[in-house]
Amino acid sequence: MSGPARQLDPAALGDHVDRLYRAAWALCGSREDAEDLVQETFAKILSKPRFLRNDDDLGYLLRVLRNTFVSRHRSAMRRPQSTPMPEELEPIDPSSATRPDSAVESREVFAYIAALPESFRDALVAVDVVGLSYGEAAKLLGTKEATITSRLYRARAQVARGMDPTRQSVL
Amino acid sequence: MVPPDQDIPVDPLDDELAERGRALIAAAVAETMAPLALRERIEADRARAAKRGAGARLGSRGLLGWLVPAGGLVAAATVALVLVLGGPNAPTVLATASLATGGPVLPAPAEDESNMTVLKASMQGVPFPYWGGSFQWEAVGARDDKIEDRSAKTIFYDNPKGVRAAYTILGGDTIDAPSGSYKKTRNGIQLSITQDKGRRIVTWTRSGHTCVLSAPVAVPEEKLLELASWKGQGSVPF
Repeated sequence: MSGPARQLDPAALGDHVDRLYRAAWALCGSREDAEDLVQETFAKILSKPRFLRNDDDLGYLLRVLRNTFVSRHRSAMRRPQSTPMPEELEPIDPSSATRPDSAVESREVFAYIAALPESFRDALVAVDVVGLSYGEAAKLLGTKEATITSRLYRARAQVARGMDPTRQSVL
Repeated sequence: MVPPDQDIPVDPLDDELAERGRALIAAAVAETMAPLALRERIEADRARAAKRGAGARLGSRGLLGWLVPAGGLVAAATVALVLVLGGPNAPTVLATASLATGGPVLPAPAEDESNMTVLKASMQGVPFPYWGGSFQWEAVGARDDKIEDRSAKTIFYDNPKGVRAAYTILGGDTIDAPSGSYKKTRNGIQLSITQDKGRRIVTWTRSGHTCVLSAPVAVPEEKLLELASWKGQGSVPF
């Protein structure tokens, strides 16, 4: 069911920056790429008025973020690869500066999510990272809720396995 | 085509791993916030887009081109004056609370070493409280706005679960509580409570200024009232 179109309110976009940033980090596996991806996504959204037929602003924003990520990824594959910044020179995330252990752990968690098979990663980003319901995630990803449930289960287990060096296995 | 992966048998031994993975991801999500620099860039993009949008709506005739045919030069001058001065109406509590949706664009203020119950941030002499010590709600960012030509300063506080509250002090005289709000008294302070767009909003007065505290409705009303009325054993000025 779709209602009358309403314009996406640009003033309310600030509400979603944190969630989109986390989603971007989980897609890219790198904080720097995540910042660029979020800014590019917002620039795209702000470039013209957007009209939605439902109340799911977040689902819409995540869809644009994911599409932007996919097209960036395709473009990057056609360009020469650049060398990433060495780990020890990475800037400190000010939100975690007082908890260095948890900052390292978060970085690892996002890196493992980014390394998951695409279908597992997308389900996990939609539900666990962004907070969509199973139904919303299924709609966004064009699949069934049961499939989302199954992918989430496996994706979570793979992240836990990856974070535990004694139980690592091939993703 | 999506493969029918729900048909793949699930290893029951993975239950524990899946639960651990869920907890690890939840912890990483709770402690990760967008950097302020990114927020600033997005806010700047949004402001530029809003300007472009206003220009596009007015079209090539510009502001006076729209106003003059409608009501003559006197009307145009009157409306232009209202636009410049911000209009005769005081801002509403709901409009003030909506500033929170923009998110922080400035760094969080530090606590004031001379009075450990307040932050080094104030609006017209009214300081914001420091809730880190007593409540574990830490200041994580700030923003300054103009609303109906009045200054408004907002400090954002996060609790350990990453839930965010926004505390705005409005410059100038007090404004009315929203219609439909109800009143409660805590710690000798009268507070008005309402809800809007999934947020619980508490309004009260400190030193002749309206304060607006809002947070997702998941934050219990009592917690918001406790935070709003906290006086830090008398060292937070009211």
